[in-house]
Amino acid sequence: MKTRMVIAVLLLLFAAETAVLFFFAAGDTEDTQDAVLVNEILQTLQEDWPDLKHHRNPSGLDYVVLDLDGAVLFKTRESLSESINSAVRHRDTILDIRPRGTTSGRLILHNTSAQSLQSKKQTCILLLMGVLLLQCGICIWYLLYLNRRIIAPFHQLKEFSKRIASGNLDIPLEMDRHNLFGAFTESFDIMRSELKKARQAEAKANASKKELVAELSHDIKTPVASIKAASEVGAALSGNEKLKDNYSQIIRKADQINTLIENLFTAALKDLTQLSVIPGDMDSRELKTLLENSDYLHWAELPPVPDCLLYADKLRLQQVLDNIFANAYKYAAPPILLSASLEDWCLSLVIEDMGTGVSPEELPHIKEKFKRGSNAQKVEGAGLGLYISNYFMQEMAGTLSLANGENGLKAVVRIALSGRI
Amino acid sequence: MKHVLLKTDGLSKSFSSGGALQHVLKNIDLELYEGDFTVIMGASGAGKSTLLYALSGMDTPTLGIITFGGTVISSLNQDSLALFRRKHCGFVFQQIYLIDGMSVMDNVLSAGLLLCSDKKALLEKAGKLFEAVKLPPETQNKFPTQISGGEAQRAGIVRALINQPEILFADEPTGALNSKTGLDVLGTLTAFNQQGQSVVMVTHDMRSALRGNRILYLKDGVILGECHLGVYTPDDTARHETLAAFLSEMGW
Amino acid sequence: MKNSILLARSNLRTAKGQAAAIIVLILLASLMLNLWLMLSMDYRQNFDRYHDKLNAEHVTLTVDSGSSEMREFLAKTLKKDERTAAYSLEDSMHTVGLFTYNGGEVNSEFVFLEKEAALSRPVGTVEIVEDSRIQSGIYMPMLYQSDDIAIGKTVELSLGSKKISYQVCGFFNSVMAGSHNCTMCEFLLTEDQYEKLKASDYAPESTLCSVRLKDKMESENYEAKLKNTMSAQYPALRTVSNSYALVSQSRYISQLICAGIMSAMAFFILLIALVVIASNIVHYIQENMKNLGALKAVGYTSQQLVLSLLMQFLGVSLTAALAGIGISYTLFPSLNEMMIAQTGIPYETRFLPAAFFLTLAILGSAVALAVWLSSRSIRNVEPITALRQGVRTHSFKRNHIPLGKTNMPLHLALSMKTTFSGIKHNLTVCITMLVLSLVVVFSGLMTENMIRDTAPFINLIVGETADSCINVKAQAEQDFVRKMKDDDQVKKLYLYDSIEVRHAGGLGLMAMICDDFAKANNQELVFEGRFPKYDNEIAIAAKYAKEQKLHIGEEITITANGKKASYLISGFTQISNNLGKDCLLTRAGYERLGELQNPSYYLNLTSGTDIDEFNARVKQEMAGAVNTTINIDATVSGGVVVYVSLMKIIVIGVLMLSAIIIAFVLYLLVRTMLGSKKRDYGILKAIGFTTRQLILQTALSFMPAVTLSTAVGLTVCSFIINPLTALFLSSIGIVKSTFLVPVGFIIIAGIGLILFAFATACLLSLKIRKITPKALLAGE
Repeated sequence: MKTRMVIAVLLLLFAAETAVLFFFAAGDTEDTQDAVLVNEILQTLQEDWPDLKHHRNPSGLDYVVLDLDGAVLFKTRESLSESINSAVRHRDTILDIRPRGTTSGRLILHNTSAQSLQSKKQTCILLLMGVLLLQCGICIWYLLYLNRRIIAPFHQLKEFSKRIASGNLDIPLEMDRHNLFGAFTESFDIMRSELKKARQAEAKANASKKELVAELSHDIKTPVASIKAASEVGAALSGNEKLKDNYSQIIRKADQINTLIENLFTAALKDLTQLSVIPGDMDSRELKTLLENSDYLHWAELPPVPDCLLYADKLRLQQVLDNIFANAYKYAAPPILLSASLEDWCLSLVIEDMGTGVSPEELPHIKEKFKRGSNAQKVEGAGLGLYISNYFMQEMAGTLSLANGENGLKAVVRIALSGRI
Repeated sequence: MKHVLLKTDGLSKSFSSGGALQHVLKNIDLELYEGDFTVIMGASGAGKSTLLYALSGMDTPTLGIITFGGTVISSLNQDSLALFRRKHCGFVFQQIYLIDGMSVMDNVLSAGLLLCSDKKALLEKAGKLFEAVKLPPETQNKFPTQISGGEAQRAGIVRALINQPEILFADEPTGALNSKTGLDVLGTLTAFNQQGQSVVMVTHDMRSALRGNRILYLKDGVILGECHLGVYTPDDTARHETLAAFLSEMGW
Repeated sequence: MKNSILLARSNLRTAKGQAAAIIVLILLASLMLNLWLMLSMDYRQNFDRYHDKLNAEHVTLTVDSGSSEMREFLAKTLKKDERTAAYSLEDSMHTVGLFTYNGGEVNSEFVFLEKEAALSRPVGTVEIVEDSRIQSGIYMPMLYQSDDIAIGKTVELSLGSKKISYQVCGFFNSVMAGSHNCTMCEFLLTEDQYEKLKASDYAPESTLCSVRLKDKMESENYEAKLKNTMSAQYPALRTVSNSYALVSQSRYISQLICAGIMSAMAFFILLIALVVIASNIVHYIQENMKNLGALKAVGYTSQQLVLSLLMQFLGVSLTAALAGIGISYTLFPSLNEMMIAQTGIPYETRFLPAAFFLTLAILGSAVALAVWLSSRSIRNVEPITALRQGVRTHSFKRNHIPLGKTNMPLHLALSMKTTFSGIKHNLTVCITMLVLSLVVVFSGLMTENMIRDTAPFINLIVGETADSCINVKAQAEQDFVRKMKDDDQVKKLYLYDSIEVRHAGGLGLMAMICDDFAKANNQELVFEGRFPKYDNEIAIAAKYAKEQKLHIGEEITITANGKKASYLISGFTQISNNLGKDCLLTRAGYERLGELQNPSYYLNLTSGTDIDEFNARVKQEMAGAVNTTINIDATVSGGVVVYVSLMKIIVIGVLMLSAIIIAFVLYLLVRTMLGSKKRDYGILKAIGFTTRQLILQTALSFMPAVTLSTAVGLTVCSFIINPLTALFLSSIGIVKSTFLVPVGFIIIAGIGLILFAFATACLLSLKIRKITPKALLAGE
């Protein structure tokens, strides 16, 4: 970038020099006389002719006015050509003054081309000198610049490579921001840091391999030890060598089978697992929709639900609420009282209907399978609803409790708060 | 009884990713005390950083309330949060996040000048902090790309502390550093904490966690447990064992 | 090739906004370019087409005599000249007259023809474009069709001192005499009205002579020769003439100006579009270094990558250009209407393949060049380095504004940092603002000199103006001057007449004669050298001098009335009236050639004087001495009003366009900036910067470039606008423009421009709102 600029400036200066020289060589044509100005002088002289006392020079030119006899009538300054002869020698312009058509005098216009040539020369020389000086300055500056920016950093690079060779990878290569070949030196530094990284990675890999081997050996040791212990017991109980071996093997196999059967057994016991409950996180604001869905007759007024994150299965919770509301619709009259409050570990939802409630004897059994309240005889149902609801709530780490409230049956649904189980 | 700086009530944070709602923080009730070096630990994906950014007003929670002093910050708008952060919080990021286009000093000053217009006092303060983190003056005028990660992170700490925040939040400050420079950074944080600076740091690195006097273990968006350690002293084997026991109990 | 198409498509999809901006800029550029090409390529040809269609003449001459002897001489002269192809002589009536048009007065040499005779002329026929069943009345040139002059309405003509009213029967078109710009203006009368006018003595009988030449290039010389021959034979007869060269030029001045502005704007917009494309590509390469590296790694060659960019931009540009050309054809009719109001020559809009392809070629090659030049750096992308993450080249940055040392407020200091880091952005802003400054200065110049105060423009176009012009009989001159000097209402009185003379070895020139040019109102008329002062001096039109290679200080010979005299050229003038074929002579100077027959005097009246009333009074008081009086003020403003309204439209359009361009360029830059500084904004927000502060910072960061380039641009343009205008108007004889540069307007407009840029930048950077510190986490 800088080099380009220096070259550009030098070229520019060279162009300037050429221009100056060219101007001097080619532009040196004879300079013309201002004919209009001369005409003005001539015209004013003719106007003023008989009496030149009042004549004023209307221009910046120097001139002398002679009468026909060669006597000086008017001159703008001293040391001008005052006779036709000296005017001819000086290459001055000589014009006839003809007021009213007759030649009455002569106008000698001073020739200034010698002076203008001189001044032109001087300007040219001065300009050239200036440009040359500037050129010299730029060259010297650029040489110094190159020395500082290229030669010196190379010395630095030499020291750096020495360090690398000796295995010292910690000291980074100092980079000057003015450095011309920053990217170049940078790659050296990248090389250093990459080398360093590679060394570190190698050491780390070695260490972790060792750890893995140690851990595995420990893990394998334990089952091997237990197998060994079992076979030792078998050997102690039986004197027969062959029987000893078989005995221990049989016990091990039986244990395995036992475990498998136990697993199978526990799985079979849980006959209700087909109603899978997959609780997850649920925004308490979603509860509102669930309640609205369940209370399709709009018997209850929706209470404000405190903001919290619930731990529940949305589908199952909906079923629980459906069930409670359906029961209320079946056994009671509107309205349904609904409230929600935050407890330590849960959000408790209290749903109380205006029915007759359940008799105290039946209350403990109401959540059991196929149990129905005595007042439910006339109403259809299998008596499974509350049982399943209770199961759902338990699976969601919550509870469902039923009691007789002030107005009717009071169901309390406690939904666990996420992260508080 | 320590003074409570920051308090959360039922803090939950959810993100929707690809249409499915993901709950990262779940009903977190937490109090942070003045002068504590609180460490939030947990496996990756446990919600550590989310918690940190919610606490620091960088992000607004989905549910719940966060109170700082007497102000509820969880309901502030973005600009008010920015004002809150500039005044009360300092941040140290895992990726350091210095602005590449500015020199180290300017990075620090750009934060400092937001609150303090007395340039001289500010420069003095910055100078002291730089000294405290052992950054020499020539580094201060370099650009972030020209200095090492450890130096950059220490500059990050200076930037975080320039406005004398009540709490310094650090998100795995040693995560992007090698072990030696990481130790330097931890040492700096410990030193500031021992001068009374409250620090909240997220880490999944036990060596970093040792620095704290209160360790919270976060799992699946829930604080599973916490462990209190005494004042940090180097090479305290008992402290190490206590922490190790706590972590293994937590399933670390 | 197929691969390149795929790449181009994916690039386009990811940069929709970019494509949109380029589309709009190219659209505008192609629109202007095509309009310009249509105007400049076909409008003049249309004149020739129309000229040929009506078999119009190349030289028109009206001689105030109906005598058969004169006609025979004329016919003989015409036949003798071998350049004559055909000619036609017609009975007509001719006088100086005026009528009201568009609120001003049209003042011209009126030539009345009988309708049927005019329609049946073999050469120089007229075409009726609108007719009615009105049996008795006048047909006006189509140019003058307006609200007041319409079929069925009555038009009042002032012929000399008489007034005469006609009902308008219709409109006609005459190529060579259908507008006041043509020196003479024809009117067709129905037979009864013609006879009626003939019977009155309002207009003298005359002969209208139309000559068609074998070579139309000879028209000026032919006209000069014919006129000289006639005036030599009949020195007492008044003659009026025009030539093809004069008319074809004068009827197209405004079209020329319009086309010029159009082309300038088109190239400015194209330049900006190219800058935008180039900066986009440079940005694209920076941003997609990794992708480009990946593509190279899988085997794409640099040429393919460059080709894909080329296809992408060329495709977009050419599509936009096609649309732009399409729009230009829909806009053209309204522009055409405006132009026809000026030229009076109907123009049928038609598809011009040459303009079409030229527009596409210019735009296509410019875009291709810009893309090729700016995408060269793709060649330097090496797959490995580009792919390697985390290796950032060390930028040896200089800390331009250390916050610790500067006294600037924080936000200003931060925005300055941004400014210094984005040199390319600054460059784009600078180029845009420089171009726009020129536009602003141009609008300012035009507003000041053409709309607010029309005098400078009139001076430039018309030359010399005064309030009133009174033509008196030679013998009554002394009396008139004495009387006027005593009149209270006359502020200044000077002789100002024009007479046709001939430059020996050159063309005919219109000589403006004044007793003393120091008295003239327009002292800017001579822009180089000085006015002629003595009887042996002359000032000639710069354009003519250039054509004939004449210099100040040289002598030329002028002939008139059979006499010859040499004059020294004392200065150059510029008047567009005679399209650069005029000269200035002092009265004494002219009198070396001949006496003034009926001298015209220009009068400046005291303010508040009603010019028409004054003219009427003088005419009454000096009955018999005064030939005609002209209200110069009204005449000039009538002619100027169309130019002014045209310029108003141009100025408004140009200013609106500048606003759109600034908005576009800033939009692109802000977008790029937000993209590349997303991380920084996130960090700043995290440490407590508010959105408003960041928006302010972003907007401010553009301001140094905007302010500086606007200031520099306005200053430089203020100095170069006059030479530029002169260059622009050189074809109508203007060499040096001395319009007043309205400093106040330009300063206010400059401030407005800067504020507008700032507001736009603020508005565009509102997107910062969407950047949250959280995004930092997401980006992990």
